[in-house]
Amino acid sequence: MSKRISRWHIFRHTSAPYLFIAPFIIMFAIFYLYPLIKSLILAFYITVGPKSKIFVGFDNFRFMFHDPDFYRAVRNTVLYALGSVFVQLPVSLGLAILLNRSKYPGRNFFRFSFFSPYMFGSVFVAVLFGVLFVPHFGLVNKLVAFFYSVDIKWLSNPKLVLPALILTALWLYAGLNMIYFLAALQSVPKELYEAARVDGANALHQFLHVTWPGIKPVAVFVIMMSTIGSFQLFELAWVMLDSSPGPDNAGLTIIMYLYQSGFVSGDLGYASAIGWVLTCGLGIISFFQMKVTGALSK
Amino acid sequence: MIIFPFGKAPAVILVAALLAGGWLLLHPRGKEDANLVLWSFAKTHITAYNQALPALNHAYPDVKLSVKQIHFEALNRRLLSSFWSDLPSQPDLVEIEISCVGTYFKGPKEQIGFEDLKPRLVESGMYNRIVRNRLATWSNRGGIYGIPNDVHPVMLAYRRDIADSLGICVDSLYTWDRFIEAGRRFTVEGERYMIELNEQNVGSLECFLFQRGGGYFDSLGNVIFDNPVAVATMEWFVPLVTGKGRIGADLGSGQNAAVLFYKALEEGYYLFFICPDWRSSFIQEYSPRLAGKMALMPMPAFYPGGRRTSTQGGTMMAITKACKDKDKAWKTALFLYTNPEGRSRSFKKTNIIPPFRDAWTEPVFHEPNAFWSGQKLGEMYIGLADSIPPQYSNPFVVLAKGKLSQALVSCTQYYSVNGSSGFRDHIRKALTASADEVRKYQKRGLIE
Repeated sequence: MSKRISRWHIFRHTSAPYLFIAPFIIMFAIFYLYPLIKSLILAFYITVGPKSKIFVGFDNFRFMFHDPDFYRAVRNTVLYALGSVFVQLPVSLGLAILLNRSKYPGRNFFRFSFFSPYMFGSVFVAVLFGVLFVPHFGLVNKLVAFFYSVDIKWLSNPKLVLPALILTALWLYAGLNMIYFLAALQSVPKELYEAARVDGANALHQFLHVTWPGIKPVAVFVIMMSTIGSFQLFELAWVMLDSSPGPDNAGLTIIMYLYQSGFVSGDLGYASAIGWVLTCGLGIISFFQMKVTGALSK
Repeated sequence: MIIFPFGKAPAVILVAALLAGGWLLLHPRGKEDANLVLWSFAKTHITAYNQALPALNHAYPDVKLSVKQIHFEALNRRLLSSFWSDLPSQPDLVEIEISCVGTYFKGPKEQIGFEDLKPRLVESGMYNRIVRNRLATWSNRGGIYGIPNDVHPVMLAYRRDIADSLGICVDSLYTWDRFIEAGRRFTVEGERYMIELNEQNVGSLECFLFQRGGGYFDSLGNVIFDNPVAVATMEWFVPLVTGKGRIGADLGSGQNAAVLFYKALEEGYYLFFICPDWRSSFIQEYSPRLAGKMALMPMPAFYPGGRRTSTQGGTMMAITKACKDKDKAWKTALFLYTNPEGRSRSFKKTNIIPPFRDAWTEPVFHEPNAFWSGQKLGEMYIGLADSIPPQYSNPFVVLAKGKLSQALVSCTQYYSVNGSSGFRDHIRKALTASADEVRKYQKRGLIE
């Protein structure tokens, strides 16, 4: 009896972890691992139509690196990512610092207000801003008209498409990143500020020597997630620009380029190659970000 | 007391899963008794088909049709994926829009997921009843893969009340030269434009390109949007939307701008706009305040006696190769597109004229329309239907539109800086560069 119990006991302890992770492993294998391997194989084929594919070796990659649209997509995506990191994140951090002050009246209301755009989702926001940016009759131009009598064609002028997208993304994502920063700020011990003040540190010194080191792990995480998210930009631009890359491909992003290649042109092989280049690119960027921010040194 | 070996939480999850699974097992989804499934993206079509179901069942008791509305993007993605993967979840009948039909024609001919309907069209006599140029859109390498739902001839719609008050005699605007001359007199920059024209996307430009007999591809699939017709059209078009002599403007393109287009129209921001038959019903629906203030006229020609229409948009009904009973699907498709009651109902709702010539004598197409100042809208569009230019579909048409758009932007920028000096050369270079990009993709992507 005791032998049976001990076997059962051993079985429980040895099998339990595998049973717990089994659902994830099965789902991961079916929906991630298999497509991942399949896409890697497909990247070396041209696929045309339902069942035709031809092995082309590295030709998909060669074609991509000679295609001006690919460079346009990379340029647009990088500019958008820079806009996200250098405009969105400082705004998010500023809002978080502002709303972290205990004496600030109505701070819970503002925290919710700034975060709320994220709850609407990017498709809704894209439709909304698509209407707001309409020339002559759109609200943005009505506001601009108070100061300048110009009719700005936000989504028709190739030079203004990216700024319009960055502004929209700022409204959409600033609140979300603010929440991350807010959580990080609240974990910085108050005593450190008191000690810094005793030592004569002004607000800038307190930020540089107390706040920033305290929130750095979260900041690194937010920067990386924003960068990766920016490189995955698709639905916001796609909906805002009415299912197109915009005038003169001004809103063409890497994912849009991938989508068009795979699902509009029907070349899943080329689309897979684009996907792998994007993955490798993101890996390299993330590595450098971690290196620069010192996240790897720990 | 029974103790679950892995703790309480997994026990709860297991119980919840068993309960949910058991419930689903005991309440299976009602099996559809339909023997044909039709997918469509157009709400107005769906409404018309559902209304026609009793008559369909009466005419063909063996047909049990299930009509499903699926979002435009989702329909195409699901259908393409089904074709590519040989999934069984394909409909028997499906409506496909003109902008994406080319994608279905990629690859070897025998792998096109739709049934070639040409033999059936010829055998049934439908082939000679349909506007011939309309079949071009749905044809590929000798096959015809759908029954056209429409012709979509284009006219110019205008604010009749404003035109009258300004003393514009629309009958005298029978050539574009005359139209532009009038436009320069009546356009007030930033306040009122003679015509709504897309400045950066190719929506308007391609309409004029087709009117002049040009296009993106010829019937053999060769890229032609850098030919002399395209160069001349671009040279003619750009000054209409750029510089001091401009007569056209837009509010951007697509759904976002469409929301405010009706407001702009009501405020008299535009006097004229390009209006295929389908768009006329949108104006009726979204700008009811303009009832009796609007009118239609044929497009001006590029030269006296020239073509006075173009074409924009389109839908076909196809039978998938996966359909098990193609005869049943064929007679259902024909019934939905040709039964007079359904057609009459559909026209009253959508203003879309059918592509079947023999249907044009039906009274509904000759009734005056109070919204359009009492004009016989159907009759006017029918009068132009046989003149529509052919529009050839191609797997690379989306790419070609994007490349033409790039050339348009380049030409617009050049013209706004340099005016007409060296403009034609620049157009040639820009169009050739864009067309070569498409040829590059074409060369690479063809597996015959």
